[in-house]
Amino acid sequence: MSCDARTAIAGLVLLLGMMATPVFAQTSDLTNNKIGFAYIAPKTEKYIPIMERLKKRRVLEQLSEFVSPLRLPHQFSLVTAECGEANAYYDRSQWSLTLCYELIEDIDRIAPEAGQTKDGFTRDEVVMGETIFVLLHELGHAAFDMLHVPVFGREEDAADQMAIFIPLQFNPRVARTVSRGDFFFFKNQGDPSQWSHFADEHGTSSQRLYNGICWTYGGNPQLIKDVIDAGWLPKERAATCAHEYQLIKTAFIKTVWPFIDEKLMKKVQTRDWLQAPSER
Amino acid sequence: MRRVTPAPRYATKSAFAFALLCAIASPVHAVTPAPSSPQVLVAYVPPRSDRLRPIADRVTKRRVLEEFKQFLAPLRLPRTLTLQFTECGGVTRVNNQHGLATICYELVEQIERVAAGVDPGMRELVLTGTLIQAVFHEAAKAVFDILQVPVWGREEDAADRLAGFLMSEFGSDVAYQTMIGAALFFVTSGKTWTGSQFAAANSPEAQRYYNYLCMAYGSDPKTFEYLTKAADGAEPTLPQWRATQCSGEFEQVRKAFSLRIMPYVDPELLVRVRATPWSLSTSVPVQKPATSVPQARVRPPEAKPHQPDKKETRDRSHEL
Repeated sequence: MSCDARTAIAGLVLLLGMMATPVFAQTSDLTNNKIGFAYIAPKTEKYIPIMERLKKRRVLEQLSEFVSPLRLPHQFSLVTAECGEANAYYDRSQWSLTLCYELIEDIDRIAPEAGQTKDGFTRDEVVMGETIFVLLHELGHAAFDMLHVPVFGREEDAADQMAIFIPLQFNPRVARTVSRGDFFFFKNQGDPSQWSHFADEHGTSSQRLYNGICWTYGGNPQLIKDVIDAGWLPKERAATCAHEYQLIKTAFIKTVWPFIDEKLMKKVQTRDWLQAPSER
Repeated sequence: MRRVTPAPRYATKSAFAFALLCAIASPVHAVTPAPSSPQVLVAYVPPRSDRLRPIADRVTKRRVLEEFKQFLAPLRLPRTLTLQFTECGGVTRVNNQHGLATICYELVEQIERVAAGVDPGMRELVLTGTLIQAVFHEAAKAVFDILQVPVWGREEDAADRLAGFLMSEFGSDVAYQTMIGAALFFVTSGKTWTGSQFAAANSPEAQRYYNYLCMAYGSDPKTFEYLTKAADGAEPTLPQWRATQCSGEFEQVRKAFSLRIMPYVDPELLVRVRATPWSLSTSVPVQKPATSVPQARVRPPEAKPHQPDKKETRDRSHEL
């Protein structure tokens, strides 16, 4: 992302953080007064419809409600913005999570055409699943930083673990959508072509693909049975998935669960998050 | 050329530390008996295969585990940790029993094979550094298990990062020999990763190579600054964009260690062990290492769409 874009977003996030109340009043029973959010208007005209779609879908309202059970030590801002690159990121200097319009544009492009399926995947599940995956991945980074979570492994993998583990605690439709959206996204990415690309702190797209399958399988062997039956999880890795899922679960219980308001969490768990707000 | 070893100035200064054969690590001028932990046991299980017997003899005679055990002396574990060499049927063993850190004779065999292919001046560095790294790696996994440490991220990477942190705790010579030695092993191992091999729970050599270089640089940016300097306009060994993350990565592991493992460490003994002038003793003539290593033989995988594991799909007609 360009320095200018990041500075501009950081300035707006700072302003958001300084406001006593969030930009939009939270009207639901899932509120957390430490969480604020804003849809920042893009400079580039083509991103306006994307912002409008996210607003209509109440993406940030829903994300703030979803995160509301977290007992946060300070302000946390959720933002959508034009960033200058297809990305999403957590900024530890601002305690802010930014979803870039360019990334939504990217996911839209990769997803199957509306009304069509590709390899058995629908456009809706890919767009929705991958967007939720990305938001939960960044939420993972945010939680590790804000809650001072000890992270022994590579943080990027840990954030992926969070993005796969959390949906598995909800109804199977949510978990299946996120897992399949993530699967479709990484299946269509390439692997490193040079030795130095392996210096990246992220795993390769195929590692992330297999990780997602393995951890989902470890948490619920039946959930993506179609993917497993098609041979996407080699036997050698499948043998360790239950253990890997257990490690994630233990890490979550020991390091994140103590910060969760259980009453609010129960409400979060019973809501159907994939239903459009207007249908609720 | 990918420069993993430092410029000659540093190499000359610490050249004494590169050549080692008999003991992998031993305290120099021990004034008081070396500390040890009663909860750490060692074992050399005799191999079934004839070809592994000479390897088993070498590691047993070198007292590799007895000497490594001294690094773990400050640990106060609620149950026994056994470090063992054994024949595994592969270079690593999956599903270890609780409290057991297993290093396979086959891995030593592989390390010796790779080391034989490097510049003679680097051979001992690769042999010893990789072997110590392997023992630290397995011990780290066993400690995660025994102390029920919450492990975010992939366990194998977490073990490498904890191993890297621990190896940096014993001074720049040990940090150099272990982390750079292991990095040299990974860069010269020559393994190619493609397709469903990326499904493995452990990481490709190329990632482990950069992870160790990053931990080394993050632990001591002065000693390992050379990793970030480009020679003759080439790309630095550790790309700048990763190097800027390394102090943060190292700090993250240090904090995790402080919170989750330090409560099980005897601080007095830790000071004694850290104050010990560890060196890797030598019985071979000291050789000055070359300042560069041969170009990596590792072929990067080609970018192509992923396919399901063919072995799994042979008899299936179902498609996604």
